[in-house]
Amino acid sequence: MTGRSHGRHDWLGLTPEVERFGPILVDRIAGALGEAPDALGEARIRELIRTGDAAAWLAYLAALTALVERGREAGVAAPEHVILAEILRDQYRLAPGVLRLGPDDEARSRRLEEMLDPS
Amino acid sequence: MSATRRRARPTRSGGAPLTLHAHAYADPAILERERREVFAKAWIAIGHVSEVREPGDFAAGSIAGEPVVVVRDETGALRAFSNVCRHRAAQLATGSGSCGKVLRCPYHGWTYRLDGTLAAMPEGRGFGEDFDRDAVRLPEFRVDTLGGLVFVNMDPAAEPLREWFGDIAERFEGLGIERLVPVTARDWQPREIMRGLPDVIRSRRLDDARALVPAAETSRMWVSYDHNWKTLADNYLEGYHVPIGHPGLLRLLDYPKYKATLHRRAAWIDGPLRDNPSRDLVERLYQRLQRPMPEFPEELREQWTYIHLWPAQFIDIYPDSIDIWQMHPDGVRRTRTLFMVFRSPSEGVRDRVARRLNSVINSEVMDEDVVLCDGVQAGLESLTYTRGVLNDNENAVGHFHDLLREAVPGIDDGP
Ligand code: FES
Ligand SMILES: [Fe+2]
Repeated sequence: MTGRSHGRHDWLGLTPEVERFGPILVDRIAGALGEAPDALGEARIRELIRTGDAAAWLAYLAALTALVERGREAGVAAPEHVILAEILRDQYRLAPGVLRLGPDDEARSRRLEEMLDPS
Repeated sequence: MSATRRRARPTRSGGAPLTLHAHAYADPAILERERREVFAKAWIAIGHVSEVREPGDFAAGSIAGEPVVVVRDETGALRAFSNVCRHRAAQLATGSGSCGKVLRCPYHGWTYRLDGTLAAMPEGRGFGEDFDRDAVRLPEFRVDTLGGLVFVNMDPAAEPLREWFGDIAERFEGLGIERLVPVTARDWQPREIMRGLPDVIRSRRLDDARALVPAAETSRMWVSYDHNWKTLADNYLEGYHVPIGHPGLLRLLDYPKYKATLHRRAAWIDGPLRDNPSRDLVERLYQRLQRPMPEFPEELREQWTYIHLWPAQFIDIYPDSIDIWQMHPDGVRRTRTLFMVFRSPSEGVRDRVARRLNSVINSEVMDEDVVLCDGVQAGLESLTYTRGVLNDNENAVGHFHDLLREAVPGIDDGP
Protein backbone atom coordinates (compact mmCIF):
# COMPACT_ATOMS: atom_id res chain seq x y z
CA MET A 1 0.00 0.00 0.00
CA THR A 2 1.59 3.25 -1.00
CA GLY A 3 2.30 5.91 1.56
CA ARG A 4 -0.53 4.83 3.83
CA SER A 5 1.48 4.42 7.00
CA HIS A 6 5.01 5.62 6.79
CA GLY A 7 7.40 2.88 7.76
CA ARG A 8 9.82 3.73 10.56
CA HIS A 9 12.78 3.56 8.19
CA ASP A 10 11.24 5.12 5.08
CA TRP A 11 12.81 8.52 5.73
CA LEU A 12 16.20 6.98 4.98
CA GLY A 13 15.15 6.89 1.32
CA LEU A 14 15.52 10.68 1.34
CA THR A 15 19.16 10.75 2.35
CA PRO A 16 21.32 9.68 -0.64
CA GLU A 17 21.44 12.94 -2.55
CA VAL A 18 22.09 14.94 0.59
CA GLU A 19 24.80 12.52 1.66
CA ARG A 20 26.42 12.66 -1.77
CA PHE A 21 26.44 16.41 -2.36
CA GLY A 22 25.66 17.96 1.04
CA PRO A 23 29.08 18.01 2.70
CA ILE A 24 30.93 19.77 -0.10
CA LEU A 25 28.13 22.27 -0.67
CA VAL A 26 27.86 23.01 3.05
CA ASP A 27 31.63 23.45 3.23
CA ARG A 28 31.68 26.00 0.48
CA ILE A 29 28.66 28.00 1.58
CA ALA A 30 29.71 28.02 5.22
CA GLY A 31 33.19 28.97 4.05
CA ALA A 32 31.83 31.91 2.09
CA LEU A 33 29.91 32.99 5.18
CA GLY A 34 32.93 32.55 7.43
CA GLU A 35 31.09 29.88 9.47
CA ALA A 36 32.38 26.52 10.74
CA PRO A 37 30.62 23.79 8.69
CA ASP A 38 31.17 20.98 11.22
CA ALA A 39 27.72 20.93 12.75
CA LEU A 40 26.17 20.27 9.33
CA GLY A 41 28.95 18.40 7.59
CA GLU A 42 29.71 14.83 6.62
CA ALA A 43 30.07 13.48 10.15
CA ARG A 44 26.63 14.80 11.04
CA ILE A 45 24.96 13.15 8.07
CA ARG A 46 26.61 9.81 8.76
CA GLU A 47 25.60 10.04 12.36
CA LEU A 48 22.00 10.76 11.36
CA ILE A 49 21.84 7.84 8.96
CA ARG A 50 23.21 5.51 11.62
CA THR A 51 21.16 6.62 14.57
CA GLY A 52 18.64 9.23 13.51
CA ASP A 53 14.94 9.20 12.78
CA ALA A 54 12.48 11.13 10.64
CA ALA A 55 12.22 14.01 13.11
CA ALA A 56 16.00 14.35 13.32
CA TRP A 57 16.20 14.37 9.52
CA LEU A 58 13.65 17.17 9.32
CA ALA A 59 15.59 19.12 11.93
CA TYR A 60 18.72 18.66 9.83
CA LEU A 61 16.93 19.86 6.69
CA ALA A 62 15.73 22.89 8.68
CA ALA A 63 19.32 23.71 9.64
CA LEU A 64 20.47 23.35 6.02
CA THR A 65 17.62 25.58 4.87
CA ALA A 66 18.67 28.20 7.41
CA LEU A 67 22.23 28.03 6.03
CA VAL A 68 20.93 28.55 2.50
CA GLU A 69 18.85 31.50 3.66
CA ARG A 70 21.79 33.08 5.48
CA GLY A 71 23.83 32.61 2.34
CA ARG A 72 21.19 34.31 0.26
CA GLU A 73 20.98 37.26 2.65
CA ALA A 74 24.73 37.59 2.53
CA GLY A 75 24.56 37.64 -1.25
CA VAL A 76 26.24 34.28 -1.84
CA ALA A 77 25.16 33.58 -5.42
CA ALA A 78 27.56 30.76 -6.18
CA PRO A 79 26.30 27.70 -8.12
CA GLU A 80 26.75 25.69 -4.90
CA HIS A 81 24.15 27.83 -3.26
CA VAL A 82 21.56 27.18 -5.96
CA ILE A 83 22.31 23.46 -6.02
CA LEU A 84 21.87 23.08 -2.29
CA ALA A 85 18.63 25.06 -2.48
CA GLU A 86 17.40 22.73 -5.24
CA ILE A 87 18.34 19.64 -3.29
CA LEU A 88 16.48 20.95 -0.27
CA ARG A 89 13.48 21.91 -2.36
CA ASP A 90 13.36 18.32 -3.63
CA GLN A 91 13.74 16.99 -0.11
CA TYR A 92 10.59 18.85 0.89
CA ARG A 93 8.80 17.67 -2.23
CA LEU A 94 9.74 14.06 -1.59
CA ALA A 95 9.25 14.10 2.16
CA PRO A 96 5.41 13.92 2.22
CA GLY A 97 5.74 10.44 0.72
CA VAL A 98 7.55 9.18 3.81
CA LEU A 99 6.76 11.46 6.74
CA ARG A 100 4.44 14.21 7.85
CA LEU A 101 5.63 17.80 7.43
CA GLY A 102 4.80 20.27 10.20
CA PRO A 103 3.70 23.85 9.43
CA ASP A 104 7.27 25.15 9.87
CA ASP A 105 8.55 22.60 7.38
CA GLU A 106 5.79 23.56 4.96
CA ALA A 107 6.86 27.19 5.32
CA ARG A 108 10.51 26.28 4.62
CA SER A 109 9.39 24.34 1.59
CA ARG A 110 7.45 27.35 0.27
CA ARG A 111 10.39 29.71 0.83
CA LEU A 112 12.72 27.39 -1.09
CA GLU A 113 10.23 27.09 -3.95
CA GLU A 114 9.99 30.87 -4.15
CA MET A 115 13.72 31.35 -3.90
CA LEU A 116 14.26 29.10 -6.91
CA ASP A 117 11.28 30.24 -8.95
CA PRO A 118 10.32 33.78 -7.94
CA SER A 119 7.58 33.96 -10.62
CA MET B 1 -21.96 -1.85 -51.03
CA SER B 2 -18.78 -3.05 -52.62
CA ALA B 3 -18.88 -6.48 -54.18
CA THR B 4 -15.90 -7.66 -52.16
CA ARG B 5 -17.41 -6.73 -48.81
CA ARG B 6 -17.99 -9.76 -46.69
CA ARG B 7 -21.61 -10.71 -46.24
CA ALA B 8 -22.82 -10.28 -42.67
CA ARG B 9 -22.92 -13.63 -40.87
CA PRO B 10 -26.38 -14.91 -40.05
CA THR B 11 -26.97 -14.62 -36.32
CA ARG B 12 -30.06 -16.82 -36.17
CA SER B 13 -30.78 -20.41 -37.07
CA GLY B 14 -34.47 -20.91 -37.80
CA GLY B 15 -35.97 -18.82 -35.03
CA ALA B 16 -33.13 -19.36 -32.56
CA PRO B 17 -30.34 -16.83 -32.08
CA LEU B 18 -26.83 -18.13 -32.70
CA THR B 19 -23.92 -17.88 -30.31
CA LEU B 20 -20.65 -16.26 -31.29
CA HIS B 21 -18.32 -18.30 -33.46
CA ALA B 22 -16.28 -20.60 -31.21
CA HIS B 23 -13.07 -19.20 -32.68
CA ALA B 24 -13.71 -15.98 -30.74
CA TYR B 25 -12.98 -17.90 -27.53
CA ALA B 26 -9.54 -19.10 -28.51
CA ASP B 27 -7.93 -16.54 -30.79
CA PRO B 28 -5.24 -14.29 -29.26
CA ALA B 29 -5.82 -11.70 -32.00
CA ILE B 30 -9.47 -11.38 -30.98
CA LEU B 31 -8.50 -11.08 -27.34
CA GLU B 32 -6.14 -8.26 -28.24
CA ARG B 33 -8.97 -6.47 -30.07
CA GLU B 34 -11.29 -7.01 -27.12
CA ARG B 35 -8.74 -5.40 -24.84
CA ARG B 36 -8.60 -2.32 -27.07
CA GLU B 37 -12.15 -2.14 -28.43
CA VAL B 38 -14.11 -3.42 -25.46
CA PHE B 39 -12.28 -2.96 -22.17
CA ALA B 40 -10.23 0.15 -22.92
CA LYS B 41 -13.43 1.89 -24.07
CA ALA B 42 -15.69 0.81 -21.24
CA TRP B 43 -16.58 2.27 -17.87
CA ILE B 44 -15.05 -0.11 -15.34
CA ALA B 45 -15.77 -0.05 -11.60
CA ILE B 46 -12.58 0.48 -9.63
CA GLY B 47 -13.87 0.81 -6.10
CA HIS B 48 -16.47 2.07 -3.66
CA VAL B 49 -17.14 5.76 -3.00
CA SER B 50 -16.33 5.31 0.69
CA GLU B 51 -12.76 4.39 -0.23
CA VAL B 52 -12.08 7.78 -1.79
CA ARG B 53 -14.03 10.22 0.35
CA GLU B 54 -11.23 12.41 1.72
CA PRO B 55 -8.40 14.22 -0.06
CA GLY B 56 -5.47 11.82 -0.32
CA ASP B 57 -7.69 8.71 -0.39
CA PHE B 58 -6.93 6.34 -3.24
CA ALA B 59 -8.19 3.09 -4.74
CA ALA B 60 -6.07 1.14 -7.19
CA GLY B 61 -7.53 -1.19 -9.77
CA SER B 62 -7.27 -2.51 -13.26
CA ILE B 63 -8.99 -2.28 -16.61
CA ALA B 64 -8.33 -5.65 -18.22
CA GLY B 65 -4.79 -5.62 -16.87
CA GLU B 66 -4.23 -1.89 -17.40
CA PRO B 67 -3.27 -0.52 -13.97
CA VAL B 68 -5.27 2.54 -12.87
CA VAL B 69 -5.55 4.49 -9.65
CA VAL B 70 -8.30 6.81 -8.49
CA VAL B 71 -7.45 9.56 -6.00
CA ARG B 72 -9.35 12.35 -4.30
CA ASP B 73 -7.13 15.37 -4.94
CA GLU B 74 -6.50 18.33 -2.67
CA THR B 75 -9.35 20.32 -4.20
CA GLY B 76 -11.74 17.47 -3.42
CA ALA B 77 -12.07 16.32 -7.03
CA LEU B 78 -11.89 12.65 -8.01
CA ARG B 79 -9.17 11.92 -10.54
CA ALA B 80 -8.06 8.76 -12.30
CA PHE B 81 -4.53 8.14 -13.49
CA SER B 82 -2.43 5.44 -14.97
CA ASN B 83 -1.01 3.53 -12.01
CA VAL B 84 2.23 3.00 -13.92
CA CYS B 85 5.31 4.91 -12.79
CA ARG B 86 6.91 6.83 -15.63
CA HIS B 87 10.38 5.84 -14.45
CA ARG B 88 10.46 2.10 -14.91
CA ALA B 89 6.81 1.07 -14.85
CA ALA B 90 6.31 -0.02 -11.26
CA GLN B 91 2.77 0.21 -9.89
CA LEU B 92 2.41 3.26 -7.73
CA ALA B 93 -0.45 2.16 -5.52
CA THR B 94 -2.04 -1.10 -4.48
CA GLY B 95 -5.35 -1.72 -2.73
CA SER B 96 -6.96 1.31 -1.16
CA GLY B 97 -6.10 3.73 1.62
CA SER B 98 -4.76 7.22 2.08
CA CYS B 99 -1.56 8.39 0.45
CA GLY B 100 -1.55 11.86 1.99
CA LYS B 101 -0.47 14.55 -0.42
CA VAL B 102 1.60 12.53 -2.84
CA LEU B 103 1.76 9.18 -4.59
CA ARG B 104 5.20 7.73 -4.04
CA CYS B 105 6.47 4.92 -6.18
CA PRO B 106 7.54 1.98 -4.02
CA TYR B 107 10.43 1.13 -6.39
CA HIS B 108 12.75 4.17 -6.57
CA GLY B 109 10.59 6.75 -4.88
CA TRP B 110 9.49 9.01 -7.72
CA THR B 111 6.89 11.18 -6.07
CA TYR B 112 3.79 12.45 -7.85
CA ARG B 113 1.36 15.15 -6.81
CA LEU B 114 -2.31 14.27 -6.73
CA ASP B 115 -2.76 16.07 -10.05
CA GLY B 116 -0.50 13.49 -11.69
CA THR B 117 2.53 15.75 -12.12
CA LEU B 118 5.95 14.68 -10.90
CA ALA B 119 6.93 16.57 -7.75
CA ALA B 120 10.45 15.18 -7.50
CA MET B 121 12.54 12.07 -7.76
CA PRO B 122 15.30 10.89 -5.42
CA GLU B 123 18.77 11.76 -6.66
CA GLY B 124 17.20 13.93 -9.32
CA ARG B 125 20.54 15.32 -10.44
CA GLY B 126 21.45 11.86 -11.64
CA PHE B 127 19.09 12.25 -14.61
CA GLY B 128 21.19 15.05 -16.08
CA GLU B 129 20.65 18.76 -16.40
CA ASP B 130 18.47 18.54 -19.48
CA PHE B 131 15.94 16.06 -18.23
CA ASP B 132 12.60 17.89 -18.20
CA ARG B 133 10.92 16.66 -15.06
CA ASP B 134 8.06 19.12 -15.46
CA ALA B 135 7.00 17.24 -18.58
CA VAL B 136 6.53 14.01 -16.63
CA ARG B 137 2.95 13.29 -15.67
CA LEU B 138 0.72 10.32 -15.23
CA PRO B 139 -1.74 9.83 -18.09
CA GLU B 140 -5.17 10.86 -16.84
CA PHE B 141 -8.43 9.02 -17.47
CA ARG B 142 -12.07 9.87 -17.00
CA VAL B 143 -13.68 9.07 -13.69
CA ASP B 144 -17.24 9.31 -12.40
CA THR B 145 -19.49 7.66 -9.83
CA LEU B 146 -22.76 5.82 -10.20
CA GLY B 147 -24.79 4.17 -7.48
CA GLY B 148 -21.94 4.16 -4.97
CA LEU B 149 -19.26 2.83 -7.29
CA VAL B 150 -16.34 4.68 -8.83
CA PHE B 151 -15.94 4.00 -12.53
CA VAL B 152 -12.99 4.80 -14.79
CA ASN B 153 -12.91 4.98 -18.58
CA MET B 154 -9.66 5.19 -20.57
CA ASP B 155 -11.42 6.41 -23.69
CA PRO B 156 -11.69 10.21 -23.90
CA ALA B 157 -14.45 9.83 -26.51
CA ALA B 158 -16.73 7.52 -24.53
CA GLU B 159 -20.23 8.65 -23.61
CA PRO B 160 -20.61 9.98 -20.06
CA LEU B 161 -21.06 7.20 -17.50
CA ARG B 162 -24.77 7.66 -16.93
CA GLU B 163 -25.64 7.72 -20.62
CA TRP B 164 -23.30 4.83 -21.29
CA PHE B 165 -25.27 2.51 -19.02
CA GLY B 166 -28.46 4.16 -20.20
CA ASP B 167 -31.73 2.81 -18.91
CA ILE B 168 -30.21 0.72 -16.11
CA ALA B 169 -28.46 3.66 -14.41
CA GLU B 170 -31.46 4.72 -12.36
CA ARG B 171 -32.32 1.18 -11.30
CA PHE B 172 -28.72 0.64 -10.35
CA GLU B 173 -28.70 3.74 -8.17
CA GLY B 174 -31.74 2.45 -6.32
CA LEU B 175 -29.65 -0.39 -4.88
CA GLY B 176 -28.16 1.91 -2.25
CA ILE B 177 -24.63 0.54 -2.63
CA GLU B 178 -23.28 3.93 -1.55
CA ARG B 179 -24.70 3.31 1.93
CA LEU B 180 -22.81 0.01 2.28
CA VAL B 181 -19.14 -0.49 3.16
CA PRO B 182 -16.50 -2.73 1.61
CA VAL B 183 -15.84 -5.92 3.52
CA THR B 184 -12.32 -6.04 4.91
CA ALA B 185 -10.20 -8.59 6.71
CA ARG B 186 -11.03 -6.78 9.93
CA ASP B 187 -14.63 -7.87 9.64
CA TRP B 188 -13.85 -11.36 10.87
CA GLN B 189 -12.04 -11.25 14.16
CA PRO B 190 -11.88 -14.50 16.17
CA ARG B 191 -13.76 -12.91 19.07
CA GLU B 192 -16.65 -12.04 16.82
CA ILE B 193 -16.77 -15.53 15.41
CA MET B 194 -17.03 -16.83 18.95
CA ARG B 195 -19.81 -14.40 19.63
CA GLY B 196 -21.57 -15.70 16.53
CA LEU B 197 -21.48 -19.30 17.77
CA PRO B 198 -24.62 -19.23 19.94
CA ASP B 199 -26.77 -18.20 17.00
CA VAL B 200 -25.53 -21.14 15.00
CA ILE B 201 -25.81 -23.58 17.89
CA ARG B 202 -29.32 -22.43 18.65
CA SER B 203 -30.24 -23.47 15.17
CA ARG B 204 -29.57 -27.00 16.51
CA ARG B 205 -26.89 -28.60 14.36
CA LEU B 206 -23.37 -27.70 13.52
CA ASP B 207 -22.08 -30.14 10.98
CA ASP B 208 -20.74 -27.60 8.56
CA ALA B 209 -17.97 -25.82 10.37
CA ARG B 210 -17.05 -23.92 7.23
CA ALA B 211 -19.88 -21.58 8.03
CA LEU B 212 -17.85 -20.20 10.91
CA VAL B 213 -14.42 -20.29 9.43
CA PRO B 214 -13.66 -16.99 7.84
CA ALA B 215 -12.09 -16.89 4.45
CA ALA B 216 -9.24 -14.44 4.25
CA GLU B 217 -11.54 -11.59 3.43
CA THR B 218 -10.17 -8.36 2.07
CA SER B 219 -11.94 -5.62 0.21
CA ARG B 220 -10.45 -6.96 -3.03
CA MET B 221 -9.95 -10.62 -3.75
CA TRP B 222 -8.43 -11.95 -6.98
CA VAL B 223 -9.11 -15.44 -8.31
CA SER B 224 -7.89 -16.76 -11.67
CA TYR B 225 -9.64 -19.22 -13.94
CA ASP B 226 -8.39 -21.17 -16.95
CA HIS B 227 -11.13 -20.01 -19.30
CA ASN B 228 -11.67 -17.32 -21.86
CA TRP B 229 -13.42 -14.41 -20.14
CA LYS B 230 -16.47 -14.86 -22.38
CA THR B 231 -16.82 -18.50 -21.33
CA LEU B 232 -17.21 -17.33 -17.74
CA ALA B 233 -19.47 -14.44 -18.73
CA ASP B 234 -21.79 -16.63 -20.81
CA ASN B 235 -22.10 -19.00 -17.89
CA TYR B 236 -23.06 -16.23 -15.49
CA LEU B 237 -25.59 -14.76 -17.86
CA GLU B 238 -28.07 -17.59 -18.15
CA GLY B 239 -30.26 -19.61 -15.81
CA TYR B 240 -30.98 -22.33 -18.37
CA HIS B 241 -28.21 -24.46 -16.85
CA VAL B 242 -29.34 -24.04 -13.24
CA PRO B 243 -31.64 -27.11 -12.99
CA ILE B 244 -29.00 -29.35 -14.55
CA GLY B 245 -25.74 -27.79 -13.39
CA HIS B 246 -26.80 -26.63 -9.93
CA PRO B 247 -29.70 -28.85 -8.91
CA GLY B 248 -29.14 -27.84 -5.29
CA LEU B 249 -29.85 -24.23 -6.17
CA LEU B 250 -33.36 -25.24 -7.21
CA ARG B 251 -34.12 -25.72 -3.53
CA LEU B 252 -33.48 -22.03 -2.98
CA LEU B 253 -34.39 -20.36 -6.26
CA ASP B 254 -37.88 -20.24 -7.70
CA TYR B 255 -36.64 -21.27 -11.11
CA PRO B 256 -39.76 -20.67 -13.22
CA LYS B 257 -39.58 -17.03 -12.17
CA TYR B 258 -35.86 -16.70 -13.00
CA LYS B 259 -35.80 -14.04 -15.70
CA ALA B 260 -33.36 -11.71 -17.47
CA THR B 261 -34.40 -8.24 -18.62
CA LEU B 262 -32.15 -6.65 -21.22
CA HIS B 263 -30.87 -3.08 -21.12
CA ARG B 264 -28.67 -1.03 -23.43
CA ARG B 265 -25.36 -2.24 -21.99
CA ALA B 266 -26.62 -4.39 -19.18
CA ALA B 267 -28.86 -7.24 -18.14
CA TRP B 268 -30.93 -7.45 -14.98
CA ILE B 269 -31.64 -10.97 -13.78
CA ASP B 270 -34.29 -11.68 -11.16
CA GLY B 271 -33.85 -14.88 -9.15
CA PRO B 272 -36.74 -15.04 -6.69
CA LEU B 273 -36.13 -17.17 -3.58
CA ARG B 274 -38.51 -19.93 -2.53
CA ASP B 275 -40.05 -19.55 0.90
CA ASN B 276 -40.14 -23.24 1.91
CA PRO B 277 -37.19 -24.42 4.04
CA SER B 278 -34.42 -26.28 2.24
CA ARG B 279 -33.50 -29.78 3.45
CA ASP B 280 -29.80 -28.88 3.30
CA LEU B 281 -28.47 -27.66 6.65
CA VAL B 282 -26.36 -24.81 5.37
CA GLU B 283 -29.12 -23.60 3.08
CA ARG B 284 -31.72 -23.89 5.83
CA LEU B 285 -29.45 -22.05 8.23
CA TYR B 286 -29.04 -19.33 5.67
CA GLN B 287 -32.78 -19.11 5.18
CA ARG B 288 -33.25 -18.81 8.94
CA LEU B 289 -30.50 -16.31 9.75
CA GLN B 290 -30.64 -14.16 6.65
CA ARG B 291 -32.45 -10.86 7.04
CA PRO B 292 -32.22 -7.99 4.59
CA MET B 293 -29.76 -5.22 5.29
CA PRO B 294 -31.64 -2.15 6.48
CA GLU B 295 -30.33 -0.31 3.41
CA PHE B 296 -31.71 -2.96 1.07
CA PRO B 297 -34.47 -2.01 -1.41
CA GLU B 298 -37.88 -3.34 -0.41
CA GLU B 299 -38.77 -4.85 -3.78
CA LEU B 300 -35.65 -7.05 -3.94
CA ARG B 301 -35.89 -8.57 -0.45
CA GLU B 302 -37.37 -11.89 -1.54
CA GLN B 303 -34.89 -12.61 -4.28
CA TRP B 304 -31.31 -12.86 -5.41
CA THR B 305 -30.70 -10.40 -8.20
CA TYR B 306 -27.87 -10.44 -10.69
CA ILE B 307 -26.79 -7.54 -12.86
CA HIS B 308 -24.44 -7.67 -15.80
CA LEU B 309 -22.76 -4.38 -16.65
CA TRP B 310 -20.94 -4.39 -19.96
CA PRO B 311 -18.45 -5.69 -20.61
CA ALA B 312 -17.62 -8.04 -17.76
CA GLN B 313 -18.88 -6.75 -14.44
CA PHE B 314 -21.32 -8.94 -12.57
CA ILE B 315 -23.12 -7.71 -9.51
CA ASP B 316 -24.67 -10.18 -7.10
CA ILE B 317 -27.38 -8.53 -5.10
CA TYR B 318 -28.19 -10.57 -2.03
CA PRO B 319 -30.32 -9.24 0.81
CA ASP B 320 -27.32 -9.81 3.11
CA SER B 321 -24.57 -8.36 0.92
CA ILE B 322 -23.77 -7.09 -2.53
CA ASP B 323 -20.68 -8.10 -4.43
CA ILE B 324 -19.08 -7.29 -7.73
CA TRP B 325 -17.31 -9.95 -9.72
CA GLN B 326 -15.22 -8.45 -12.47
CA MET B 327 -13.31 -10.14 -15.25
CA HIS B 328 -9.87 -9.16 -16.43
CA PRO B 329 -8.70 -11.22 -19.39
CA ASP B 330 -5.14 -12.38 -18.94
CA GLY B 331 -4.81 -14.60 -22.01
CA VAL B 332 -7.25 -16.37 -24.32
CA ARG B 333 -7.63 -19.18 -21.80
CA ARG B 334 -6.84 -17.24 -18.65
CA THR B 335 -9.02 -14.78 -16.76
CA ARG B 336 -8.24 -12.99 -13.53
CA THR B 337 -11.39 -12.13 -11.65
CA LEU B 338 -11.80 -9.54 -8.93
CA PHE B 339 -14.30 -9.79 -6.08
CA MET B 340 -15.35 -6.78 -4.09
CA VAL B 341 -17.93 -7.42 -1.37
CA PHE B 342 -20.05 -4.78 0.34
CA ARG B 343 -22.04 -5.15 3.55
CA SER B 344 -24.22 -3.03 5.77
CA PRO B 345 -22.27 -0.77 8.13
CA SER B 346 -24.64 -1.93 10.88
CA GLU B 347 -24.09 -5.63 10.21
CA GLY B 348 -24.32 -7.74 13.37
CA VAL B 349 -22.86 -11.15 14.13
CA ARG B 350 -25.98 -12.97 12.97
CA ASP B 351 -25.80 -11.12 9.65
CA ARG B 352 -22.13 -12.00 9.29
CA VAL B 353 -22.86 -15.64 9.81
CA ALA B 354 -25.66 -15.42 7.22
CA ARG B 355 -23.30 -13.71 4.80
CA ARG B 356 -20.73 -16.40 5.42
CA LEU B 357 -23.34 -19.12 4.79
CA ASN B 358 -24.30 -17.37 1.57
CA SER B 359 -20.70 -17.46 0.46
CA VAL B 360 -20.45 -21.18 1.30
CA ILE B 361 -23.55 -21.86 -0.82
CA ASN B 362 -22.39 -19.74 -3.71
CA SER B 363 -18.82 -21.05 -3.68
CA GLU B 364 -20.27 -24.49 -4.22
CA VAL B 365 -22.21 -23.13 -7.17
CA MET B 366 -19.01 -21.58 -8.47
CA ASP B 367 -17.16 -24.89 -8.11
CA GLU B 368 -19.87 -26.52 -10.21
CA ASP B 369 -19.61 -23.75 -12.81
CA VAL B 370 -15.84 -24.12 -13.06
CA VAL B 371 -16.19 -27.79 -14.00
CA LEU B 372 -18.82 -26.88 -16.59
CA CYS B 373 -16.67 -24.08 -18.00
CA ASP B 374 -13.64 -26.40 -18.21
CA GLY B 375 -15.70 -28.60 -20.50
CA VAL B 376 -17.09 -25.69 -22.50
CA GLN B 377 -13.66 -24.16 -23.09
CA ALA B 378 -12.34 -27.47 -24.44
CA GLY B 379 -15.49 -27.93 -26.51
CA LEU B 380 -15.24 -24.48 -28.06
CA GLU B 381 -11.78 -25.42 -29.28
CA SER B 382 -12.96 -28.73 -30.74
CA LEU B 383 -12.55 -29.27 -34.49
CA THR B 384 -16.17 -30.35 -34.69
CA TYR B 385 -17.87 -27.37 -33.07
CA THR B 386 -18.46 -23.95 -34.61
CA ARG B 387 -21.36 -22.30 -32.88
CA GLY B 388 -24.52 -23.06 -30.94
CA VAL B 389 -28.11 -21.85 -30.56
CA LEU B 390 -29.73 -20.00 -27.70
CA ASN B 391 -32.86 -20.74 -25.71
CA ASP B 392 -35.22 -17.97 -24.55
CA ASN B 393 -33.70 -18.45 -21.09
CA GLU B 394 -30.34 -17.54 -22.60
CA ASN B 395 -31.49 -14.16 -23.87
CA ALA B 396 -28.84 -12.31 -21.87
CA VAL B 397 -26.12 -14.39 -23.55
CA GLY B 398 -27.55 -13.43 -26.94
CA HIS B 399 -27.58 -9.78 -25.94
CA PHE B 400 -23.97 -10.01 -24.72
CA HIS B 401 -22.91 -11.59 -28.01
CA ASP B 402 -24.71 -8.88 -29.98
CA LEU B 403 -22.86 -6.23 -27.99
CA LEU B 404 -19.60 -8.00 -28.82
CA ARG B 405 -20.50 -8.12 -32.51
CA GLU B 406 -21.13 -4.39 -32.36
CA ALA B 407 -17.92 -3.57 -30.47
CA VAL B 408 -15.55 -5.92 -32.32
CA PRO B 409 -16.65 -6.15 -35.95
CA GLY B 410 -15.64 -9.48 -37.46
CA ILE B 411 -15.50 -11.24 -34.09
CA ASP B 412 -18.05 -13.66 -35.45
CA ASP B 413 -16.31 -14.50 -38.73
CA GLY B 414 -14.29 -17.48 -37.62
CA PRO B 415 -10.72 -18.24 -38.68
S1 FES C 1 9.76 2.62 -11.26
FE1 FES C 1 8.85 4.14 -10.10
S2 FES C 1 10.51 5.17 -9.28
FE2 FES C 1 11.42 3.67 -10.49
FE1 LIG D 1 -23.89 -21.50 -12.93
